[in-house]
Amino acid sequence: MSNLKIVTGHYGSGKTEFCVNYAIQSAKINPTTLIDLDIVNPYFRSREQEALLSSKGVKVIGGSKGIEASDMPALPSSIYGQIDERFDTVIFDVGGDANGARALSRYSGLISKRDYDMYIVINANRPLTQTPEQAISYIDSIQAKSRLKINGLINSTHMLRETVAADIIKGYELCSRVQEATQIPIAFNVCPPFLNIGELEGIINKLFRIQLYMRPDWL
Amino acid sequence: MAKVLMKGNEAIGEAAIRAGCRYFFGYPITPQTELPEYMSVRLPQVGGVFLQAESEIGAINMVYGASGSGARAMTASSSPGIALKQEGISYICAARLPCVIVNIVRGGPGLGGIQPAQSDYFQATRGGGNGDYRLLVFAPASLQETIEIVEGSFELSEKYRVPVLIVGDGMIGQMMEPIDFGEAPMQESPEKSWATTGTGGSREPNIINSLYLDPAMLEQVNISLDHTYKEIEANEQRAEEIGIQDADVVVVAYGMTARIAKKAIEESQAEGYKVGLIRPITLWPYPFASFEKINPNAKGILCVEMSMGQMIDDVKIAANGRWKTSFYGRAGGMVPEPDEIKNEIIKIIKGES
Repeated sequence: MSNLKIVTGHYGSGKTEFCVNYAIQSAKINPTTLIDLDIVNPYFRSREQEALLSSKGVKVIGGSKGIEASDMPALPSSIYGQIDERFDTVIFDVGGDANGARALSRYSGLISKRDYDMYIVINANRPLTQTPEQAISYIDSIQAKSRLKINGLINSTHMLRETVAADIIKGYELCSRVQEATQIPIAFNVCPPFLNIGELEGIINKLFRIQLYMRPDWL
Repeated sequence: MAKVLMKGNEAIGEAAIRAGCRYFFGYPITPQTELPEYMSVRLPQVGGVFLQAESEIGAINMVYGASGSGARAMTASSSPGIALKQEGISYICAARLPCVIVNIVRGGPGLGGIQPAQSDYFQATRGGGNGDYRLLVFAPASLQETIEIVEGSFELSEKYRVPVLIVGDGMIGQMMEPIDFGEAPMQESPEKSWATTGTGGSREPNIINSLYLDPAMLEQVNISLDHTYKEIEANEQRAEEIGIQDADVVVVAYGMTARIAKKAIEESQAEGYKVGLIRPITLWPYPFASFEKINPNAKGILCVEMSMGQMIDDVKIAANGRWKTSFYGRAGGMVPEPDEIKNEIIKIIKGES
């Protein structure tokens, strides 16, 4: 396990929700920085949760100061310094799809010189990651664009507030088949707060319970 | 068909294809860009044409041409991009062509910002272009409703030969929601006797035109358009109504703002207040009929928008002096919180507003 975590995936897969939750949990035991590398999507980005994250002890590096809400493809230079640090936990929340992962490739030279964990978040309910073949093709394209290697799968199969245990099991089965074909292990199975975790215990290991920080309660 | 989780912009594209749209002309602008992006991948797969125009003006005129030759065509943009299309929209209305236009609204005026807004209500319902014309304007509040409106809009547009404009704030384009694509809608257009499909040597040529130099003839065009608009006003008003017959306060809000208002209404009801909702689904024709059902003794109507107050004009016309009207809005890409709306509701109930 490395303390440099890179989280990639399809947009809408649940990447940012995972990153925000992981950062908050991580900050309880270790200084943690969350880097919002999403320059593809202007909405639902982790930088929007900066106030909450700061209050929980997470440092956030997002877009350039003053234009956080823009879709400017600009990233602060302070990101480079985070790659060297060895004691803090650093989480990269990468933009959606291979296009989003392209922003990561400018750091690939530095990152590949050290150990890192790179995850792909898979939501079996998203149209383009429903079969093992589609998911593997996503993995290939993200690896090619980022010039880095994925070493963990995150099953984040959800239907927002309509998520049931069967969704998570469906995603687990999909990820198991991807794991078989690629030898990339499942690192986490994401479980929303309103599900009874008992329904999944014994069927699925490595459950990761999340709160819904990114979705306002009226949505 | 099983539910899928889609992003609004993608879902609009898929719904249009399911409705038989095979021509999309557009130009990128945040927050609607995923829609042309989706069409650029999907349309070639179904034998259609995606074309990135040189500008928004180019795109709307390509729609004019495609629609004139009888095709189901679509364009989309966001606020300042829709402003650029106004000339073409007015021409399309004059030429009596059907088409579907999508505006994923961002904050304005000018280039504004890229966060969600509802400040294009005037542009949508009062006409940004010249002349006496109207558009059928829909404002969905969920992705399921969005795809159902998109799927029905091509047929509706052809029925009246009036363009349909679908207005969603930035969030409708950007957010994810579960969608159930049901039975595919009707893809075949009815016979278009007016389209420029070739005479085959057996009829006079069809001419698609918006220039009438003879004032008497132009007046006839205006009268004929007006007949159609009156028919639409009689037939197509749509709104969701919740508890307005016995409400003390009625909130009027459309699109995503109505979702936030619903949360505020639920919380107010939990505290014992009687609060209802009118959610216009058509912005034009405006659902005036819904207001006739409001409790005559209600203390007031609260209009909530993500703008400095545009739909409030229609709310005042609808209220016609019968109830006190007030307004609450956030602008520039700021989204109101349920608590802010609840405070306004309580102010009206307590007679402080």
